[in-house]
Amino acid sequence: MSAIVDEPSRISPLTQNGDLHSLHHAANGDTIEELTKEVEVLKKKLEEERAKFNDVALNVVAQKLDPITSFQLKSRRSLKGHQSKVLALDWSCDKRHIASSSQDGKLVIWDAFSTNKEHVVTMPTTWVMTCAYAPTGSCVTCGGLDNKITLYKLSTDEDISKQKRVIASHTNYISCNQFVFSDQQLLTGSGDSTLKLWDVETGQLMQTFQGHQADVMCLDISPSEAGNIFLSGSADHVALVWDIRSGQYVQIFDGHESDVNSVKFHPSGDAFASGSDDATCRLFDLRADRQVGIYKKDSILFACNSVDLSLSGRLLFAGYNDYCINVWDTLKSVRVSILYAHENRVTSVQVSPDGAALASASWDSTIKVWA
Amino acid sequence: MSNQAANLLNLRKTVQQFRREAAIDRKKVSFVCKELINYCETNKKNDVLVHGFKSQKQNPFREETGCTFF
Repeated sequence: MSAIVDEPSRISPLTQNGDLHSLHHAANGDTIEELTKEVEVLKKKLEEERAKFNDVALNVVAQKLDPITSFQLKSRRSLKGHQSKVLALDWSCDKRHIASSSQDGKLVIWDAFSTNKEHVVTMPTTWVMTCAYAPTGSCVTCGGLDNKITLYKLSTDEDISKQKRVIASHTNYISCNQFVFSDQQLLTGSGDSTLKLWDVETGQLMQTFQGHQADVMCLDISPSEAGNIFLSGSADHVALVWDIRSGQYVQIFDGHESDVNSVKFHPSGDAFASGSDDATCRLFDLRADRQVGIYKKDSILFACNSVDLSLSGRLLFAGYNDYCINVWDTLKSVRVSILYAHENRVTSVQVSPDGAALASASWDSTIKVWA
Repeated sequence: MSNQAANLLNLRKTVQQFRREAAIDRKKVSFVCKELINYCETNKKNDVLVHGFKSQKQNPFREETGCTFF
């Protein structure tokens, strides 16, 4: 006897929490009405789930911790030489060299210990918004309003600008780029709202990541190589977590009320910090699938352009348009210190690879190293 | 008609995305907070930006001091 199935079988997936077991899987011949209804149902369920799991505030759990009292950072080096706004910087893995790019059209490689300029490269365009140091230190990349990423091989004997190669391109400006654990692969983010993964050797496009509704402003790759995930922040106010192999985004984090300018993974790999035009920084946890911390003050009115975390994840450094770098205790959600030294907007902050120092770039044309 | 088809496609994508999100195994905020605190406390000793250097001699970016020649 044959069983005639009139309608698609409604499967209830078993989930650990039980509340989502009433999800219905509809078949492919759906109507717009049925799908729209399902979207509403799922949205409501997701909101309920997220609210249910939000059982305590981070700073409440952190109450019993000792406050940070031994914080003592001073500006130890001022890297001078750029003639205009410095928009991007990147530490080399050797913890000593810094690459910086400026609106003066130059890419400079600095020895942060001695403040010497080891290389000065004239870039193909003055509108460079991002630069990255390759993990081996043998090359650097930069890109911006030319919609391309140009790679420069660093060598002491030849003219570096002659050694350049275009390895990536988008249909709009490039806002961010980062090597993926080796010199072989590069991830780029663009004003065209996508991110792309490239093979550096061949310049071939390996994967496109579509999902943002507006310009991609920043990206960060998970510190755990096995993780295979990376983050992106956008002018659409959300941060997305992507699976690098499938090209799909796996989690969405909303909360910010304006462009997300900077995202950085927590060293544990389980959370990330973000900075936004809404003058706040936030901490999102991947396992809780939601925002768990917010760093703001009524007196802080200006956009945050860049964030980075200290080695243990306890400190959050954030550079703002009011020329300051605010240092936040990520757990107690209070400000620990304000680093004043720049005479214009702070565009980028980055902790050195060994966690010993912080570098900051500014519209005042300098880079400062704090330690 | 193609507008209708495009809308349908977008809706399907949205539904698939929401299903993926609904299927995520979420942890309670209280749990992840404890984990984050644990991580910070465990790694605190290596984080010089938090506790500073025992002596400035260990700071790779300390102010350069002069040398005396005998």
